Amino acid sequence: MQSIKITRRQFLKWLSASAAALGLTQTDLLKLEKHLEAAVTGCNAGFPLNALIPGHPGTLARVIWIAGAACSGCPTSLLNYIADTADPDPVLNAIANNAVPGPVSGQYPLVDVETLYPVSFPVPPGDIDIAEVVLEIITIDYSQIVMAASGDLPNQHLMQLRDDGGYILLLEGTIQTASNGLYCRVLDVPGHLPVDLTLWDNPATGGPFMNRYVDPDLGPRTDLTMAGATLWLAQNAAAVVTLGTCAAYGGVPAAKKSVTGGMGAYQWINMVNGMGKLMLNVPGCPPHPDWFIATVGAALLEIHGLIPGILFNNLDTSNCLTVNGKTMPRLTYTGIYHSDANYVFCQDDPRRDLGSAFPLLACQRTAANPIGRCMKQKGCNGYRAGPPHIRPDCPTRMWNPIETGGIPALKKNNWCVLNNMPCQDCASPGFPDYASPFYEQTKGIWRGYSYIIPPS
Amino acid sequence: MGKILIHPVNRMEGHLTIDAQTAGAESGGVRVTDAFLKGELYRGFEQILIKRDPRDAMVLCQRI
Repeated sequence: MQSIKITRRQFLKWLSASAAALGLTQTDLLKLEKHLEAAVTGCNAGFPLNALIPGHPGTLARVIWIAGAACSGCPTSLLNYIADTADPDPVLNAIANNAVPGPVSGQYPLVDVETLYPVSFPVPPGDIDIAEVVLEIITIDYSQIVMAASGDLPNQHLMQLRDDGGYILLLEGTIQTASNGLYCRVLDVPGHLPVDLTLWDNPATGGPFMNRYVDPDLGPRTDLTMAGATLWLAQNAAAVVTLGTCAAYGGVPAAKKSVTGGMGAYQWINMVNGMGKLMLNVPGCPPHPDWFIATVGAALLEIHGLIPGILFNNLDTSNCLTVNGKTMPRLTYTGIYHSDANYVFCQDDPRRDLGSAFPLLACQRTAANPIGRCMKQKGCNGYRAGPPHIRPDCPTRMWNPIETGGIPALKKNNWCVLNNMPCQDCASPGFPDYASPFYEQTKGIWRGYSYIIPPS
Repeated sequence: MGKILIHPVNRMEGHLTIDAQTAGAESGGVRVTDAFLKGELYRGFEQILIKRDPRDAMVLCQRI
C-alpha cells in the first residue's frame, strides 16, 4: 500500500482546523509541530527569531494573549485574516506570496519571506491564512479564547512561560483599575505569587491587584485581576502588543461615566507604573486583521534588520512619547499602510491639499452629484479621523466581501461609509466620547492624547 | 470534602469561574454537592449609557 503523502504544512493546517474536534490545545499543537519539524529537518532550528527571545534560540516568537474587559470582536476580526497575494502592502505582500523575486521599485524592497521563515518544501502562492500565521510566524502559547484546556493545567503552563520570559504579551480589552481591579479577574494560579510593592501590590496605584488566599481544600492560591496580571506578565515580556482600541487607549469600557477605572495598556503599564515597555498599538474597533498581521510582520522585519527602520522611521514622531530616552511608536499605520503621511480619504479633510489624490468614494460630492452621500452632518468623522499618524486605510483596504445579486464576492469590498454608516473614528484615542453623540455632527475638539497623558 | 476550581473557563467569551464542592472521595465515588458559577467581568455599560443620546446605544451596545 502506498502511504498518503501530505506536506508538513498541510498536516499542520489540518491539525489546526480540527483542533477543536480533537480537543487539542495550542500547547499540544506546538509540541506536535516541534516533533514534526525535528523529524523533517533533523534539528529544532529553523526559525530565525532568536533576536526576539534571548537565550531561546531556534524557537518561534511566543505570544501570551490575555483579555480584559473585551467583547471578543478583535479576535473574531483577526480570525478572518486571509492574505491577498495582490496586496500592495510590502509586508503583507511578502507574507502572502511566500517567495517574491527580487526588489522592485518603490519605497521598500520586497522581501523573500522564505528567508524569514524557511520551509523545506514548495508552497503554493496565496496559501496563507490565520492558521498559517499562528503556526509558522508566531506561536500563541496561551490564549483563553482559543485554547481548549481550562483550569490549572494551562495556568501552570502560563507560569512556566512567564518564568522563561522573552515572549510577546498580546493584550485585548480595557484594563480596569478601580476597586483593586476586581471588575475583571482573569485567572487563579496555585501558590502565592511574590509580593511586588512597586508594581502589582503598589498601594499608590490602587493595589494590591492580586488576592493571595489559602483554600481549605486546594491550599495556597493567588487570584489575579486583569490589572495585576498585565503587570505580572509584562515584567518578563520582550514587547507588548495591544489589539484593539480598548487595549490601546481604553475604548468603550473606559468611556465617561464608567465606574470601573478603565484605561489602555500604555497608560497602565508605562505611564502609571513606569515600566518603559516597548509597546505597539493596533487600535480599531475592531482592528482590520491586516493591520495586526502587518504590525507583527514589520516588527519581525525590523528586528532581523531586513528592512531597517520600517517600524520606526516612517512614523510621524511629533506625537510620539519618549520613554527612557527611546521614541516609542504610537502606531505603525502611516508608515506601513500609506507611504504618504498626508493620506486623506475625505474631500472635507483640511489636509486634502497636502497629500496625494484621495480615492473617489461614493459619499463624495461631484459635479454630477452635488450633494453626494456625505454624512458629515450625521456624525461622520472621515474628514478628521485622528491626527496624521492615525489614519486607518479602510476605504482602500476594505473589510468584508458582500455579495451582489446572489453572487458572492471574492474580494473585500465594503466598509462603514459605503454601508451608509458614518465613520465613528473608532481607531482614535478619544473613541467613543470624542464622537458621541454619534449621529450628530461631531462637536468635540480633538483632545490629542489627553486620554493617555494626564495633564500635569 | 473536596473542591474543583476552574478559573478561567476557556473557549468562551468573557470570564467565568466554576467552583464546585465535592464529597465522597473517601469511598471512591465523587459527587458534586454544591456548585457556583461566577461571572468575573463587569464593564458597566449601564452607567456608560446614562444621559447619552439614545442613538448612541446601538453603537456602544454592539460592543458588548
